[in-house]
Amino acid sequence: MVDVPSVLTNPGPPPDEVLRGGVASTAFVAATQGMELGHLALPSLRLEVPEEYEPAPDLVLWNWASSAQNAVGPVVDFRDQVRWYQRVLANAKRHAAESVADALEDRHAHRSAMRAVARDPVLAQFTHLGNAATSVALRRLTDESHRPLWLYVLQSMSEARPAHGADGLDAATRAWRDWGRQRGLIP
Amino acid sequence: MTDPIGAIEDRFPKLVAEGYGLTSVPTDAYNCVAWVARDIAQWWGPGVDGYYWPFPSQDDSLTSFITLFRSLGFEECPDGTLEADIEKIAIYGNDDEFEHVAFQRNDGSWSSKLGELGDIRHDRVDSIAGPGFFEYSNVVAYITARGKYVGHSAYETCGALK
Repeated sequence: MVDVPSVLTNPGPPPDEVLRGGVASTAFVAATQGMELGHLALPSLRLEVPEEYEPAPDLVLWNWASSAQNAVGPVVDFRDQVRWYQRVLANAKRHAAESVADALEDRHAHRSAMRAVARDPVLAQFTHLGNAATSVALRRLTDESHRPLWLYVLQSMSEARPAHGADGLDAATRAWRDWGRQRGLIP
Repeated sequence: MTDPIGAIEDRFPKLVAEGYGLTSVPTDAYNCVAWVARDIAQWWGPGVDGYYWPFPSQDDSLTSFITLFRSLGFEECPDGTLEADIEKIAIYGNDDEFEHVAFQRNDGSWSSKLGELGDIRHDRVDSIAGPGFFEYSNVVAYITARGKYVGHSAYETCGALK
């Protein structure tokens, strides 16, 4: 298994919902692994995010939560913090998805049949990373390495079948590439 | 893949002691099933869009793969003993799960396309089977095609490292 911070794979509220002010006090606590943030009387904390924290959002969030609990000040606007949280989370998810993708390629490069991939807990880790994982899978597929693996992974984690009826790996790769571009998942 | 030989030997450590040779560069264009079917342009397998599978059923069981090999002209036989002008293939699996297939070369050694790794010639059929995470399960069936693929010339000319 790959060491992925649990905050990245725990189901949380959709980011848009977090941003919709009123629900934030409950939703955000959930999104931060149940850390006791108290009420949403968050002061307008101006947080510096050191680059080295970005792959470790658990630590960043913990620092933030501690600061929030101890801070005194009027509620001004928490949306900057939420957006910052979203950026940190997205970045961390991308890093995690790349690591898990490396592990999947390493563990299954020798396979011709995909049943063993299906039951690999590392695949479940990857799938739980959501859109970050889909983007990484699409990019790796279109880089044209490990195409059979990524075709299988994408089909298993998506309800879409853009490559249905595709004649061969090249055609299936093109179909997934177009599908990903249409959704802004890959450039 | 920066080290194709290391990628194979790390996964299948018995190969080094028991004898093997790399016979192609790594490629994801085809797999072991395609290799046995003399097709180096498609990845054969059921249930995934973009793979080639000649049957409407997308069943990925061992039984389904054996049905495939029968449709290619193979019949089950008792063992992998070398017999003149008879090609045999060894099917590796576990319960009803297909994992790998290798074919016997006319010198009695075996040829395997290891997923997206390269093709290899291995002296012993069970050099790639074992309890390791990467190793395949044991051979569960041998099947043969009498006279169908004599000479293996199609294979012998494939691969940049020959």
